[in-house]
Amino acid sequence: MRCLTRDEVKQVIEGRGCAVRPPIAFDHWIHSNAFQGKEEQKKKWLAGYPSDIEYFELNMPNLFTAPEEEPNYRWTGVDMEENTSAGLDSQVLIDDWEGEAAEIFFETFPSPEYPGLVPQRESTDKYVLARFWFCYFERLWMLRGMENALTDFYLYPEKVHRLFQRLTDFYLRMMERACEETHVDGFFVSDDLGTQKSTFFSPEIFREFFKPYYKKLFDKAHELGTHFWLHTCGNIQSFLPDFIEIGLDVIHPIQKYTMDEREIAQKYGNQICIFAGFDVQNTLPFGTEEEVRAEVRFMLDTYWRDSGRLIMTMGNNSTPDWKLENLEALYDETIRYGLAKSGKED
Amino acid sequence: MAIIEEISEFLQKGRAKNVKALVTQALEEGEDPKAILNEGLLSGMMIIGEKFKKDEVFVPDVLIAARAMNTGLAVLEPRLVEIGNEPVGKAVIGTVKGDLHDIGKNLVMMMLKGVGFEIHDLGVDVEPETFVDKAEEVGADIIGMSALLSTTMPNMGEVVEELKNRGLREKYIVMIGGAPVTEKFAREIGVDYYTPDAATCAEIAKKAVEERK
Repeated sequence: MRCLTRDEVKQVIEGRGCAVRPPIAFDHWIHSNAFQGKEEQKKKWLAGYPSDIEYFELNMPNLFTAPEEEPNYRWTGVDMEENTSAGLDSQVLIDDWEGEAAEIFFETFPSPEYPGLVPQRESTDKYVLARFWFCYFERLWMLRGMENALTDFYLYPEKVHRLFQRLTDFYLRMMERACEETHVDGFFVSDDLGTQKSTFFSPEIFREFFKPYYKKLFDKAHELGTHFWLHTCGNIQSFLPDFIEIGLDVIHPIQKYTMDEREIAQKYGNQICIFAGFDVQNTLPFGTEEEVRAEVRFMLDTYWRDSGRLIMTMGNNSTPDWKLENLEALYDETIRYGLAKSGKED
Repeated sequence: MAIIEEISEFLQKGRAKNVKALVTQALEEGEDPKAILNEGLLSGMMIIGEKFKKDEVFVPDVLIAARAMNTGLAVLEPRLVEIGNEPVGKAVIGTVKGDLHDIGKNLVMMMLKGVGFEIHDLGVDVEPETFVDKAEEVGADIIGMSALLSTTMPNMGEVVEELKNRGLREKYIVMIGGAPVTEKFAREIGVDYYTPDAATCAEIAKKAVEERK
């Protein structure tokens, strides 16, 4: 089966009409751990299925280590050891906003002019996503640890603004450079803002600390002739109208079991493209093939628009308990039922 | 406004300095330390917990309230020890083997502390034996387990097996939670309670311990 072209994917994202089937990007989240660690086997298997969207990673700074030629190209300003026995959110790189580590952090903030930031790529007819991870909230808690990060909104608001402004300046220049140095159709970034039940913080905090900076990123993406895609796990329903208002193009994943998909589709499905994430927590590891197929039909029935606005993908990264027969059913049903939904001949 | 009520009010707003000052003042004025704890600090946390459950407040609000509570508790604790005040119960909590996710677990600990539990945090990637060893060591009432991954969730069952092997299953109230965890799964592995969020967990934990005593 042929892959969809760049123009077809753009048309779907912008709500200018569905393609012959929904664009498929399951492969973005399928790693070798779903194939007993065998990378070659994974590649061979995936080659049998369509992959409509290409992606590459922008070389953002690491937390702890910098390239030899650019010693400041890392998030810690000082040498620190990574604690691999604890969660990322419990490591504190800046323990006190009023202390020395914070001063050094801002003084040695990484530069977006780092030569290796944008990788060189071969040209393609497909839609291309430039990805980076940990946008604002995720970056804040990686620097401060989760508990500090969440209380910073109340206790150190001016420091959060200072950090987010610096990050924004970095991201804006990075986006410009990506478009100057290679072909990009969209930017994709992660920032988990939701928990299983609700958002991590109130809509008031979102509007004060996040919305203005996100708007700058979305505006820049549009100025560059690209789309902006956001991955944000959990129940983020209360933030969606604000994201739509400031021009977010694509939202991922509308996480299963956290929101009512029908309500999201009905209220927002005509205003934003849903990068719909298939349930990875239950159906893929524990469900039957028929349950996978039923879930695909449910997703397509729920999110499908004749105007487009739907791309099918996974809710999150693969885990070793995914069943191969379920992955086969997922692709097969998405293609079969997707073709039926569009009613178009290829 | 009575001083104890004021403590509760300031705690709900996360005003740590005010809470500390008011607890100090209340003790100086001869207020009963137990009343300061139960009707001031814990009652304030309970209100925040209820509001959190109803999505009226969010995690940062719970955190700054918990921070205020801890500031007040630090002043109060020596007096509570003097009069021999016992915690509601003791809970041993951790994220199961193979799993490093701890945001939910930490939130549960704060909520449990907020209803008066003594907490023993085992951290992340915790071996089944460690849960049981620690519970035995501290004389816990509750063993609480968290998992975010579908692949690590089955390790909760290993803790239950470990308890059974040592003939201790009935001694403890076993509670689980985490994104992929369900009521059905809780029944399958034979734990006492699954709760969908931190506030409900604290509520059920308190009730369960009180019922046993």
